Amino acid sequence: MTDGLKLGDRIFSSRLLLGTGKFSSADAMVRAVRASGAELVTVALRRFHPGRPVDDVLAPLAAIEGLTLVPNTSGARDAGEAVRAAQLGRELCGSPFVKLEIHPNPHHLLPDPIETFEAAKILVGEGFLVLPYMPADPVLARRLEDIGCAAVMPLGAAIGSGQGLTTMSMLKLIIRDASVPVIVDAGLRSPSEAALTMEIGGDAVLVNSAIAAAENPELMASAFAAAVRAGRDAWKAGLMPQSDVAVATSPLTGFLAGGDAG
Amino acid sequence: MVNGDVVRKSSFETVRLSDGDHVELIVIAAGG
Repeated sequence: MTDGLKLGDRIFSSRLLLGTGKFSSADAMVRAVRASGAELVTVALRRFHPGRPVDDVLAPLAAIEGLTLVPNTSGARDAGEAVRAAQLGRELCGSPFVKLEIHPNPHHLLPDPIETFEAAKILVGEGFLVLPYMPADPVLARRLEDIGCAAVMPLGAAIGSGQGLTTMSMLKLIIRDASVPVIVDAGLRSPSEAALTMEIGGDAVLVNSAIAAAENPELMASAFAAAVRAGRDAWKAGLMPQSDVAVATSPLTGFLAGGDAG
Repeated sequence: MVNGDVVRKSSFETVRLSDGDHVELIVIAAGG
């Protein structure tokens, strides 16, 4: 694989990660996952209550070849809860990955940087491949990288908000300095934002609501996949320099006037 | 989980429960 996404000792060909929440049905979710070409999909953990229906996402996802599940720690309010959720996720999914997310405030769902850092230290020590969902903070990104996280996952905007890349300037700093993959997670609404993320050097994007809440999730998943590939190719190709003034693409010979225009 | 502790899969068959133990079952669900 010449241009794979390397996370820990694993390499993936797709740079689009998919969340499985909010889909109208398991069938819609499976069709979107297939259309996206994603190899990493996130799942959540829930307490089982007898008599209360549970959507079975495991069986439909297990039918998709080559998929790696990434249990998240959503619902955790501090490091202790997140570590316990990660341990449960590993037992249930058999996956070394954990999407570490700790958001104590259900109103804005912004990640707690201090608890995230503390939990990441413990989980890295327990052998997890930790993918921390984090504020778009270059200092925190470096600290999480230094303690051994397999990637960093700064937010583009608040979860599910569809506000796009509101943290663009910080994302650029994180990407510039990072030596682990930068996966932009949360807030994206359109494939063009995914392409832009990749054009500035992002290594991958994680998308959920933008696909699940689209009128046609399967088609939107396909659109995001194409955008991620296009953005990645554009970054590899190297964007041309910007100029404040026009730079002619044709020779300014002034041949009609009989002389050079200069 | 038993009394808040994670029971590893390898211990599912051998874990011993006592009266008063608090058992919680956790399942995979859809999530982002």
